Amino acid sequence: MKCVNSSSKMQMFIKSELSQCKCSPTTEPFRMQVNACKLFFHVQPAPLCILDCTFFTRKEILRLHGRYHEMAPNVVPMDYTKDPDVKLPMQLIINMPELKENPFKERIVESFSEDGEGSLSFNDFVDMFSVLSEMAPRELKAIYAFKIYDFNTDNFICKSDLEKTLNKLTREELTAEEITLVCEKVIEEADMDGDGKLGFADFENMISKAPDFLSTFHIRI
Amino acid sequence: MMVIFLICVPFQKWMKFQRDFENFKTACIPWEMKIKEIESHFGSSVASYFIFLRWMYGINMILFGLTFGLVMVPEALMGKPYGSLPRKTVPRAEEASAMNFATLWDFSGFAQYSVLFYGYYNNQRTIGWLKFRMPLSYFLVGVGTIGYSFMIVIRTMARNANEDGGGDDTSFNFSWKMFTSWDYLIGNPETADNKFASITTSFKLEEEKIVKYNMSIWEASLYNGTIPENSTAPPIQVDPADVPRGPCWETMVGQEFVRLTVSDTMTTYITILIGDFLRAVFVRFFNYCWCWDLEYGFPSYSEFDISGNVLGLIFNQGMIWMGSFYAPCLPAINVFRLHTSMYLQCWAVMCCNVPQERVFKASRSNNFYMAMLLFILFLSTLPAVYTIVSIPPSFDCGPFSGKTRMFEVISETLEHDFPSWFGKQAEENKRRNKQKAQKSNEQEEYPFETEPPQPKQKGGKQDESTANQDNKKGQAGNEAKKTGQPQEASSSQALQHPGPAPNGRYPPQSRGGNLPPPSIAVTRPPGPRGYGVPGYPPGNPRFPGAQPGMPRGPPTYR
Repeated sequence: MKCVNSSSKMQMFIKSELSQCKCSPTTEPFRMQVNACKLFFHVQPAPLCILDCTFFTRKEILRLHGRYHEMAPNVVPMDYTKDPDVKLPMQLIINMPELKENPFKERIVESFSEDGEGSLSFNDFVDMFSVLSEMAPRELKAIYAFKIYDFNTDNFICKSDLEKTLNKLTREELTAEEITLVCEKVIEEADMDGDGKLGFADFENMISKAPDFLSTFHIRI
Repeated sequence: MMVIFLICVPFQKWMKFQRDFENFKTACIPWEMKIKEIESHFGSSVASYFIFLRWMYGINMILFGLTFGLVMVPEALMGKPYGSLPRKTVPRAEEASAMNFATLWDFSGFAQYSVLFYGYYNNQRTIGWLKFRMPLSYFLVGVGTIGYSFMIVIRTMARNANEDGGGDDTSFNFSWKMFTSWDYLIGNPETADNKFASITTSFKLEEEKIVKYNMSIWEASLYNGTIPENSTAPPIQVDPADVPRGPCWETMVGQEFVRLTVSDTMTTYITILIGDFLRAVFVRFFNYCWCWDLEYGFPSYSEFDISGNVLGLIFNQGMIWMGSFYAPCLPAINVFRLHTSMYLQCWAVMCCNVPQERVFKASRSNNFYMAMLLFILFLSTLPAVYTIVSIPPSFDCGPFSGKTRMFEVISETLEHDFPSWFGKQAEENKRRNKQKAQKSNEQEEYPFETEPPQPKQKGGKQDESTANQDNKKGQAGNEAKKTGQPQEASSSQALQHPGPAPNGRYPPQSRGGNLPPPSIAVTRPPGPRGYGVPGYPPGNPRFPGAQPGMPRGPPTYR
């Protein structure tokens, strides 16, 4: 899913596509021709429209834009044709009703923000809800779940990450011994390569067998 | 360049069309926003009940479409109108009360003698200018609803099993609890608090969060105590309303199922209104002036009973499957019931219930509910299949009247609507049977004389159906003769079944000798009594002669 990884070329492409998505059908054939050329001449396959980048329908993207706009009506423009560079800070996003009660809301927003600090552009915003929707495939969700639970962003879920996860889940009501016990148990269960921490392969191996993963790692907007 | 353009553009148009179609399909899903709201308040397990309800509603719409479009509408449009036949008319004795609300609520009176129930349908092979085969359609719709239900339940089970990935694994219990226990759908603070508490408790106790389902006791509320009614004994006149009729057990059975469904619905709604709503009102408004805190102590707000409701839904569907063969109106009633249930329960759960203290996991329960549904489907279709295969249909009501078995409509269709060499054989046999009938009439006084078995013709079944029709009609005119007929019946059966001895009995098939059609109205099912008596529910006492006090008069309707 190249578009979710969002290279800068892709970013520009997505923004231009989004603006063109609202325009009349007469421009579409020309755009498709341009896209066909890009498809043929570029090594990296390009999505042909933002609608191909996410799992949302056109109507849903427009509705998401409405939600994004209403969080900061003074800052977010309604018209995206001029390719604005607008990002909303984390504080606004984590106050959304869908995220408000989630103990991992900060981590979620950080994982999808391009600058890593939690400000989301509209593309990041759409990416986030797209991955968390029920239409996203299991593998994609696993990638982002790993990112979310990796608190220190070192591409491993180490013991300190596990402790932080557990504290967020139980609102720090467990004693230190209980926390240590649970974290050791988790590493014992899931660590396959014996390095004392969970790499992405370990995590994915464990999560692919989890029966509840798809239904709980799901936000509806 | 142009080649690329020519190839890629239609492909893009196709992708766009696919996308637009997906948009449209998503927008058509009913009650999506309602369920989403419930999900954010109560979690995914309560929402799964409503998703199950919606799925049931879809199935019932299909069943309704089949029964309504292929059974009720053709009979209403092209069949004989009300009042033209005895089976389509309210008996004279009941006419006075036929339009009363109480009678209609009980599905008697005019409701009983309408397309809603089995008994109204005529056994004419084709009706209307379209030559619509009504009995065949009734039979195939009955079989089709069962087949479709099986197919869809098994398909859903397979799909669920696929997604679940067969989770019997216990090797990652702690990891799964850590990474998949939080339900990201929760948007309500109270639910979130509950969730935190339950996660903490489960970690503290070092247990797995496994779902334990309560099989709640739901039979008591769903059975009523009505007694089946009888609709016989009218006086003699020519008017169809006055023609004496035999009891129509299929309609009675259908009526019972309809009443059961209606009373189940009423009970559920009243339980919601009193048990949930009134309780919530009481707790809310009397809390100010009560000694103890009503919200935390007794009675407090009720929780949504997922398992009880799901089992109620499954049981209700079992009743529908069992009864829809006898009462084509049942899927329609159920569609209406599910529709109102959806709105009532959505409102009730948002207004009167609180999130549960123990949080269930919904994922593994889906296949359990499906397995139960499959089991109930299997059980429910057994009675209908049994009656189709071995109980003779009522002799003067319904689309299969006049046949010895309901499935004979298939053989009859094969015989009449298929290539001529089928029909030729059938005609030959019919002619031979008629001759036999006349011969055996003359030979009554020698009951034990047996005929040499005739060479078996091709396709015993279709011959049998026509022969049996003749048999049936014949024996009605000879009620006075008793003992000779069983032997004659079996000897006539020897035509179709040359293997067994001439007096070898086939009790379910024997209806009597080969006798001419009746020319008088009959007050009881004709012929000697074998194992199954047409017109009487099996197990009823058998009357060897004419019933006392039931004189026969001249019919003009046949």
